[in-house]
Amino acid sequence: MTWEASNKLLKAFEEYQDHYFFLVSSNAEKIIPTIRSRCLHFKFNSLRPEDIVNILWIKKGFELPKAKSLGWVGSEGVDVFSNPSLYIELRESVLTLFSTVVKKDICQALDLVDRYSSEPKALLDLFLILITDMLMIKDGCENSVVNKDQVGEIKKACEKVDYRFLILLGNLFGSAKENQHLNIDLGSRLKNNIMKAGQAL
Amino acid sequence: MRFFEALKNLRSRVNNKYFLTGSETFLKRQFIQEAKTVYPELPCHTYLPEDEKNFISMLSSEDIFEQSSLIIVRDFNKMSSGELPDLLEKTGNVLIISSSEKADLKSKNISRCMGFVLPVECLPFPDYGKEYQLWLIKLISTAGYTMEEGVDEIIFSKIGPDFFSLDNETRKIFLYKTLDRHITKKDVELVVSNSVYGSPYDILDNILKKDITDAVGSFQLYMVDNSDCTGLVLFLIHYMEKMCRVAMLVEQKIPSDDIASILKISKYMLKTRYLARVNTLGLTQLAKIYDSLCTLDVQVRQFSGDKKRVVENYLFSVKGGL
Repeated sequence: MTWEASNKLLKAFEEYQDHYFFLVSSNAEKIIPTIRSRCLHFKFNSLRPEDIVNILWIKKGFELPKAKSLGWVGSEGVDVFSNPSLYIELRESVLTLFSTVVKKDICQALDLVDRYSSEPKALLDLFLILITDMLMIKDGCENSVVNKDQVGEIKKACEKVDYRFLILLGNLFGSAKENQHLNIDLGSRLKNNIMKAGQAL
Repeated sequence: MRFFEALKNLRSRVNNKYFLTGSETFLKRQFIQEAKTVYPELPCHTYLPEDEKNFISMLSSEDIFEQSSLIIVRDFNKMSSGELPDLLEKTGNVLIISSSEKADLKSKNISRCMGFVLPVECLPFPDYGKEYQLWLIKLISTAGYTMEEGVDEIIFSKIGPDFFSLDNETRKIFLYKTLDRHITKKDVELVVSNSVYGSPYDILDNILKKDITDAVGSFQLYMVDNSDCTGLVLFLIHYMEKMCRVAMLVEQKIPSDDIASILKISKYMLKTRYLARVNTLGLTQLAKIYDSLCTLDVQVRQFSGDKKRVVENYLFSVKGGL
């Protein structure tokens, strides 16, 4: 909220004292102090993997293995609740995407990005998690990988590339993530990075 | 908020105050048109910058707060009135305010409005070409005309992504073909003039040719009628992406007809716009330009001053080898 709007809200607080106001924010620091001091502050921590699994399995009726796989991804800050089925599908697709890049089949890799053109953010998040997992495996920290149920497949996929290439991918896609707040066209940025990765191989 | 989400809000009457921004006049016009159909029962008042006196006297009259109506304030950024926030605060009327340029939401006048309105970004369509051509086909058939295959592509390739000019030029053809109502490619060549202002195509063609004087010239001409540098860069990125994909398929020796169907580009556009450039420059050079445009996109979005300077600076850097 802008500073002016916040002050209007403050005025409303004072005028309508018989009303209840619930303010929801991901960062309490961004709320002006005069509003903050008038509110009772409840802090909600991010969900643990087991909480996400329980919600998906018990409340949303997902199969337990699928719910578990999303639990790990969700605990990394990915909003899996927005469309759990899509995230299940995307986890497989990012592995395929990685393999097609490594095979230098850039046209197919670009087609794959196009297929998920409405969800470039989800694709980027999962791709970055996959790269981190690969780096973990290369470092011998298999226990720390996020996609625990895919360790075998991930190990096989990253056998063909060296550590330096994975770092390059991490940097390329990480910078796209950093610029996300500027409202850039993530789909184009992903495709540009894929082409650059293909050339680097 | 994105245009189509805002349109849903309008139809379900969730919000009644909107702030439309973006240089693409067509979408804003569509939104206002839709508002008139959603609220047919309300009397509609439209204010343009030249009616500013009327607008101010309307604000000072008491009636406006008593009787509900649909109030449209067009090109608000060209008005000097600072009384709009008061209206937004006090009235329950349906209000749609449009800005003819990318509005500076941090400016004092506009930021005061933001707490009361739903800001709607009317950006150009990202999937370059397709939507414009579909719209052209609909325009032609709705007017009761038939056309030879590929007419829509030629009109679009001559004018570029500008709904206003596309509409004008197509209506010129309608007048020319009142008798037989069948439009041929020859008619288009005869009637449609090439875009008067520098089109994004010209800018990119000059970048590819490294003809910087012309690139800057066409950019400045383009900016006479447009002010949205972000939209322009986005267009250039989409165009270059397609160009790179054509180059990849050419390297794989895929026949041009297949390339057209794989990438959903019309054969005409492929031959006239893409293949010549691809054959001259090759994939490596094209990919380099694509990458530099993505970097430019971030720079333009980050820069809080006059974004035109960033684009011009980029154009000069092309000559120096990016």
